[in-house]
Amino acid sequence: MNAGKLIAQIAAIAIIAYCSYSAVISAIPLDKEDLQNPMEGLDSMSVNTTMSGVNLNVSVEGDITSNLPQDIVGVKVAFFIGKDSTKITLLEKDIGTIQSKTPYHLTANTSIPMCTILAYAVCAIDDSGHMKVPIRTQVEFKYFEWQDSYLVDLGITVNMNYDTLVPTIPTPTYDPTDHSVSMDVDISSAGSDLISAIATHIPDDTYEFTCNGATFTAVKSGTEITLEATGTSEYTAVQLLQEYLDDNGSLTVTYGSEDYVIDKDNAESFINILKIFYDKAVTP
Amino acid sequence: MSRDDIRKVEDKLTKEEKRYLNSKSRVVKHVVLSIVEYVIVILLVMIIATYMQYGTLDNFFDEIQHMGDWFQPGGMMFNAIIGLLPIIAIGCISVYFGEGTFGKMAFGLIKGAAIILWLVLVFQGASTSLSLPEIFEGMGLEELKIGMDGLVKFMVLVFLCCLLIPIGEFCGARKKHLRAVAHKDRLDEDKDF
Repeated sequence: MNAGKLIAQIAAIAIIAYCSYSAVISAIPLDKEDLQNPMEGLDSMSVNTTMSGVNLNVSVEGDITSNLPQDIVGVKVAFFIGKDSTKITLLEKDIGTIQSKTPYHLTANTSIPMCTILAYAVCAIDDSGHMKVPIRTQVEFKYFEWQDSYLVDLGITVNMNYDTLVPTIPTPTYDPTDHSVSMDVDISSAGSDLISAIATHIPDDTYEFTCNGATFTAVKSGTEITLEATGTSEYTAVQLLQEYLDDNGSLTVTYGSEDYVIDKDNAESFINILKIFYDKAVTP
Repeated sequence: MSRDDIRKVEDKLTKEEKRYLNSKSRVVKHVVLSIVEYVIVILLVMIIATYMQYGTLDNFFDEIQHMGDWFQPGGMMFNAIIGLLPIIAIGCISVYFGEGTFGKMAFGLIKGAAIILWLVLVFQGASTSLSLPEIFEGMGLEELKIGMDGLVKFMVLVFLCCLLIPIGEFCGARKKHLRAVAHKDRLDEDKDF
């Protein structure tokens, strides 16, 4: 037997076991109830959606309590609709630190131009008449502190595909004289809060937006929504917006006397969504 | 034991002494074992990854065929397969050296470092390759980013502790190695006469 090797093995195991035990014991709740329910309040967050002129306002509010023995740091939450080239950021919130055993009051507000959501909604309808609205939630956090580093350093993106039934498959129409596209949608049941908000919170009316040379008209009547995007006699709405975005780096939606600036990333996604809208109409 | 028996024993190296001397034949045996070890480890990684991805191993071979991205450079399986090769090679070289030699200790330390590097590569590959299954219908984990700083730090600690083992082995076997070398030299001298 190699005594030197045996002593080294025992020493190595002892050091690793001690470090692992001390790290785990400081980060994992010892109380069984805390272990089963490490975060309280996530289920009871209130999400409110209201209309304000051109925008759909979304507000999230509630208290979160962490039952974990250590603080959760670097917490960031973001919500998106769609992904990749059609990703529109709905809400981003840098929460920072959620202290252990201390209620954290979360408030987050955002405004989203309604036409971007409507444009997304009408483009998300598949051939079977279902509107698959992917709402993506991104959460980042760090936990399990050990020697000034975090053993748990995660970024998780959860994809929720809300399925909304559209009773009849809508056929978009295209008018080459003013390069306009139009589509009627009847949203009978909405799995998504956002689409529900459109169906229930937005008063029945005709809404006309302008956006850097292009015009958008949304007619809301009960669960029926008609969306029309109009360009000019020479250009489609996509071409007008793309040119403006290339020159100015953002888009501005105007509704009545209110303006709302869409940043570059969201503007590019909006234009990509409109392209799908036009493609559906021109080559149904 | 008679004087002749003692002389016979002293005339050749014992099995115990051969452990402390360098040996080419050990390398040949170890290469065969290493190939088996390589296949087993890769199969284990594939089984664990498939189970994490699909939550079942019922259609293991069918599911493996849908993991093309995993075998691309940077993917989990690519990192596992390529990264394990140097460990196997270092292992084969280290068995050439007898216990108590500087070579054995040095290659033991290098192998420890290579294993840690391999684990880091597999973890990083896993964080980009795995798309975890749906939590329930319509809801699934789309992306999982794992920050490696803390884990790498912990692995370094484990590695530093594991460094103690080849050092301890060296210290414990050094005298026996020197005795075995002296015995071998004496036998070689006798042969020359």
